[in-house]
Amino acid sequence: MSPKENQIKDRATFEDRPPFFNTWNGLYLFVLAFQIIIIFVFYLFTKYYA
Amino acid sequence: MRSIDWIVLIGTLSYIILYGLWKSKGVNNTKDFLLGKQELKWWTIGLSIIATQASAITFLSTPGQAFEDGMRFIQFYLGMPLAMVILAAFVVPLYYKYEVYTAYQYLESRFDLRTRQLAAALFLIQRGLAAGIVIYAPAIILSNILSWNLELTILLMGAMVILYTVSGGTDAVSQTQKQQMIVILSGMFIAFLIMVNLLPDDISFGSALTIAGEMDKLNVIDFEFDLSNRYNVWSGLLGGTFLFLSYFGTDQSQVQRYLSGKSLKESRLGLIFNGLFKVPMQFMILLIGAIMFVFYQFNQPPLHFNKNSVNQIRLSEYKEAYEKLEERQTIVFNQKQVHIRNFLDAKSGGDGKDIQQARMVLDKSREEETKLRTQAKEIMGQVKSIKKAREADYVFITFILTYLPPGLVGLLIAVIFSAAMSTTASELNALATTTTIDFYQRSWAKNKEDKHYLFASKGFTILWGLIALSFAMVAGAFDNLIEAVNIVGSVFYGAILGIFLTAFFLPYIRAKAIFMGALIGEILVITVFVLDKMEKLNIAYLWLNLIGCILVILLAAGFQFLLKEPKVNVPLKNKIDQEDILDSDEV
Repeated sequence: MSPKENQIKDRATFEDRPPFFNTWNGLYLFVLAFQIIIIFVFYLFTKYYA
Repeated sequence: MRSIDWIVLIGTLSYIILYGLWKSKGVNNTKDFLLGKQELKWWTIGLSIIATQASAITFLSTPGQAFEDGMRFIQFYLGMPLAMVILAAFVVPLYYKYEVYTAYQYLESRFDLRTRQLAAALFLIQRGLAAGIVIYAPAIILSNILSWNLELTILLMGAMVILYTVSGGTDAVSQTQKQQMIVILSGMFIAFLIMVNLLPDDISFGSALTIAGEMDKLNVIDFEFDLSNRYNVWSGLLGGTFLFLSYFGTDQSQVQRYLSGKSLKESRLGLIFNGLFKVPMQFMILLIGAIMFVFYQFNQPPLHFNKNSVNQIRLSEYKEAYEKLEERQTIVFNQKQVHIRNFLDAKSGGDGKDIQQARMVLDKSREEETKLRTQAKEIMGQVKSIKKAREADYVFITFILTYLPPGLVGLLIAVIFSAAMSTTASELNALATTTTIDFYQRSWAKNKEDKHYLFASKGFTILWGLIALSFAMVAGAFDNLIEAVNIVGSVFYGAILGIFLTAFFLPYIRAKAIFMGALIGEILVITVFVLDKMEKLNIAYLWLNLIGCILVILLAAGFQFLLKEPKVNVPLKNKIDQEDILDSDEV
């Protein structure tokens, strides 16, 4: 395999783990939880100052 | 602007450009020019993605929007995290798998050349127009406020962008964007701190929030479902998610940013970073607007923030009428300060009756102030030489120029320049890439040497830069041009996303069905839009993305069922093209 082919293979390696949460699914769940929490915090903020 | 401001402005911009040129030196083949050396880490990709989306208008207008309308605009971004997860999980791996330069290349491998070039052409039209507006919009505001020559401002901004984009390609764009985002975020944070510091001694940050909340500026979340309401949780979560899927997943100016990552992991993390960072960032920018509103409750604001328009009134027959309104505004402003303090006292006293009474008095003085501002705008409408402009765009820049200390004014003007340049650079880079890869190399000039395509890519960057500059120069002649460009985006994004989602997730749908589905779906979206304009329907523009996307998918599925196109193995033609370019690196 040429160095270029190796480089392409490395770039598209799917098994590469994220630096946090061990798995990609774990990281995605964290982002979705963040989305729900931030909407809830914004809701409390709105309620408090309304 | 004082000398120190000019030094800071020129020094900051020169540093950013030289840094970008230095970091991207040694770009001598097409792949490096269009995709970069593919060494970027996730934080550079993430900042580059944010810098591409956030134009100068984001930083100039968003605080003004909160000043006028409150913080509800944040709901526009609520779909961002979900959209980033979908893209990172499903879309980016596909782009990596097929080793594409542009998002549209993938469509040829999945459908046919016709669909690829249709999507690419829609992108070129949209972005080509938008690139001009991205330069024009801040230039007109800066020239109005600072009395700069408009054409010179446009030329200066455009020339700087063209210089480093042509010279260093994608890497120069991403590296400068990282620096630009650092300048932008620092500048905005410093402005926020100074604003809070300039509040009267007896008004704490907590009291400022209480006042902003009382005056409906902290209306962040609205759960009421209303199709005609542009900003509520549902339009943000549904319409916004589809808009961001389309923009970040199929718009080459964004796709190019994360394709220049070191690996799939870095590209995914760059998108996730954007999903986590963008909403809090927009919240902070809107909070600056809300606090600025409180600041102007204790520091008399001008009756109208567009200084240029006010100067024209003073030269017209309406001078006296306007000055009378200004006199009345001063009286109302002084009364209102007393009413605000009475309200805060009543609130800390905790007596419901007192609070209610103080609130009523305060509301009355606010109503009168609003009435005076409306009357001022009506007078402006009668002076023919005054062009229609959104007052909200001028609020933050007026604050910067009036209240920031010398030096920081230059830094904040550098923020505006940086934001305009970062977005334009991405757009020119993407326009040149799409023109080179999807049209020039694919159909017009096949099998040439790599040097030929590198030269063509640089040539197309200059060409699109000149088109954007020309468009920016004449943009002022058309009143509704900015609105028109936004409409073009909303009307087409849904259909483009429909094509891509079909390509990703519905493998049984073939080329003919998707092409017909996209064409008819687009006609129906335009019909919905026209009916809305004729007031036969009442649908906010964000929903057009969702409607367009669903229509294209359903119609394509229907046509596939009726046409019964045979299942064939489509060769990955674009992979061959890609190999051509990679091989020619050695030439």
